[in-house]
Amino acid sequence: MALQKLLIVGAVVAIAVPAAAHGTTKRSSSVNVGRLATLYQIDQLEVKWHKATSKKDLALLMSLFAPSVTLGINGTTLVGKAAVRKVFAKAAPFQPQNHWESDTPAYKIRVTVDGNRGTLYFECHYVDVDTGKVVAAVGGDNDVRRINGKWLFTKLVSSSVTLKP
Amino acid sequence: MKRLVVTAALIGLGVLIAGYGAWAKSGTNDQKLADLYKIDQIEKTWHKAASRKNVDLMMTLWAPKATFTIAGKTYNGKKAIRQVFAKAGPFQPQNHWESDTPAYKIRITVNGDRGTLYFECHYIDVDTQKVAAAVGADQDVQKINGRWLITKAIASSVTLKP
Repeated sequence: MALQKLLIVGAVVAIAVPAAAHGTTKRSSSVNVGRLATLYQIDQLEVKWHKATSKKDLALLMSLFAPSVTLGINGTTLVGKAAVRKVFAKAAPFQPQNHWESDTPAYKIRVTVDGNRGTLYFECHYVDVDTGKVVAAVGGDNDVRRINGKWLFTKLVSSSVTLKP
Repeated sequence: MKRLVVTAALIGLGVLIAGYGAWAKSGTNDQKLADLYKIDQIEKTWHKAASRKNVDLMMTLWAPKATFTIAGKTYNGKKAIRQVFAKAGPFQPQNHWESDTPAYKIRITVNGDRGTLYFECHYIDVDTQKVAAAVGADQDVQKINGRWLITKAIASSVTLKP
């Protein structure tokens, strides 16, 4: 009976010790991996934004916004997707006569993450592909949030930017 | 009683294994996204180096035995590649160029410690606000000593288009 008890205790220790050690190592590396994975997911909002504005894909752009998103532009704040959609529908990149490619200085992108919330700053430099000239440049200071497993813009504030290396 | 204890232990072990399996699967996906993030940092650092005329920073992205093919000629090793960049347009003091990219055209693949990366550089002359040069770069990348580095790059011409 004593031998049986000893064997059980030994077996438990043999499983628990390596498991605990494995868990500690995994936890520290998986936290970092998880953070980088999240940063990548948030950055994809910027990538899709530039695709949507280059391809005049308003539906794609709207898929990036939370239902109660706010947009601060030219001193006015618009609330909700319907209001924000109206602004973008009239915006220059979405007009058929404009053949603009939306470029970005990727090294100026700033992403932060704190749990299910984060921030994302990026610039849009709209290049008229017919003339090769930058026709508009704008910055976006944004709040993002993970809602139902998907990162979405919750607050957008546009700003003017100057082209500089 | 003994049978009950053994059954409970087996169920407990089964649940643990299943839970670990699910966790490991999500961990695998996170690992892939983390690698994609790190490989994408090569592109961001490239544009920073080219915009700031920082050849040293640019060279931190290259593996020791990297090759770089541009204008039909292949350069072998970091020393030779460095000389190419030192003479390249973005690194000349008279050029005030910002290196932009159409981010949605970036393509990254990852397979273990190897991957590929494609991106475009649109050099904007900030004095004229016009695109002074546009180039694409098709690259092989590899994780070496924990860092993703370019092992092979081939430059190509690109056309500006949405």
